[in-house]
Amino acid sequence: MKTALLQAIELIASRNGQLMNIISVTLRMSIASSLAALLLGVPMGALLSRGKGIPRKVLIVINRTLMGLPPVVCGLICYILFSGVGPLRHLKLLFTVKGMIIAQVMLITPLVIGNTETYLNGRTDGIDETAKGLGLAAGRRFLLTLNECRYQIVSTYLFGFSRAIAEVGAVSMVGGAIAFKTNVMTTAIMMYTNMGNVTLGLALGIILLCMALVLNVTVYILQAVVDR
Amino acid sequence: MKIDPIRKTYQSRTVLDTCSMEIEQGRIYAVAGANGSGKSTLLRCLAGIEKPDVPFSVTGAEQLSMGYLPQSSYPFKMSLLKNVLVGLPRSGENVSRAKDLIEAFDLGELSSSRADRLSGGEKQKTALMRILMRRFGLLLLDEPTSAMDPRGVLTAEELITSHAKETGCTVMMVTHFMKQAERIADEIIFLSSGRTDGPVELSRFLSGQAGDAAREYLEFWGA
Repeated sequence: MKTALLQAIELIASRNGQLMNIISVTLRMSIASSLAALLLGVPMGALLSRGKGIPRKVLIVINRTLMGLPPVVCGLICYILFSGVGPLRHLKLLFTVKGMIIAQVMLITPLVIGNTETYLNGRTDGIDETAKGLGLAAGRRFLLTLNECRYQIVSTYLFGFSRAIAEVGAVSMVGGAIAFKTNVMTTAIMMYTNMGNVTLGLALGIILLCMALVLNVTVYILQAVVDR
Repeated sequence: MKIDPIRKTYQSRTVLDTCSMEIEQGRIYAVAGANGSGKSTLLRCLAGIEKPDVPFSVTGAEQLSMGYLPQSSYPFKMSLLKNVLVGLPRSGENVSRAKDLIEAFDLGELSSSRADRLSGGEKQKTALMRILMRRFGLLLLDEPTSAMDPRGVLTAEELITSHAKETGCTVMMVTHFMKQAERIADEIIFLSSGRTDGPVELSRFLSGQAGDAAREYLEFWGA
């Protein structure tokens, strides 16, 4: 562990080109996919929380099923769609960061929808009723609701980001872990461990944890400032 | 204006079944009755929050705008002043009016404090100020002073009365307190098991001439 920790520090200090590329691709993929999932999932979750009757129940069950979608299955679906025989082959997304982002969005969006729906369900009634009583238009009411749930939205984003940065199954299938192109922290850890370089794998794991920690601390401070 | 009969049923239980009601513009109506008598449901149906069994209409008033203050109004996670101004342009006139209302309730020191962190009574004052910032044809207030201290109650009543006079709006206000009804209302709409005979003059109601259920309700107040 000590050796791995020292190697992690050495790796960062050396500004190793391959490591910097891996960190850059990891951040790019995780931030883009979690943001896209947030932009898609929050409005869908909000709409679902306001729905009524059997259609809502059906959609909730479908979403909960998708929340449990195994990453490798998601990766396989994307692989088939983007491969040379797939219907989306012309987009040339296989073994690209864009393809990895799409796979991640497919994985994270149901989680964002589920989180948002669970949080908003019942809570929005008071906000909506008050805003309606004031004669505010539907668009204004929606924005007000989002503003009231800003803390939860940030938490949901962090949740999505954590899933994206830690995911390995779908990104390795769609991205292929190509050095200097689609290799991310998780696929690199897997690759080096398989090659017998456990220490380097552990060092990368420590760096990955540190990245998540820095982001969480930053967002926590931001939330505290916004919540004042 | 005339409000059509309103009927509302929850799982085969009729909670509201009113007759057609004649409402005079610019007057203040107290809405009274025991718990579960349908007071809030009446206001919620009128405000469009609750869907009645059959659609109803309000005739005699062109494009009637309705403002509704729920029993537990939501304090937005922003300052007291911003809450009072929510959804309104930040014009000098609006800001000045908001500050006047805040001062009337003696909450000037708290105007930059987060409204969701105020006490129950202060939150209720905020909610009342927020609705009094706007002009409506019909203002529906569901127990707007239930958590306020006595001084706050009197201030709220003064503000509601002066708002009704200034804007010419009709006010329907749910209250459990007959003294409050006497101070503020012109007429009373008494509900018993979801039914009402419509508005009656307060003096007639208080002298026990508005039916057995109303007399029984008043006896309790006299006890």
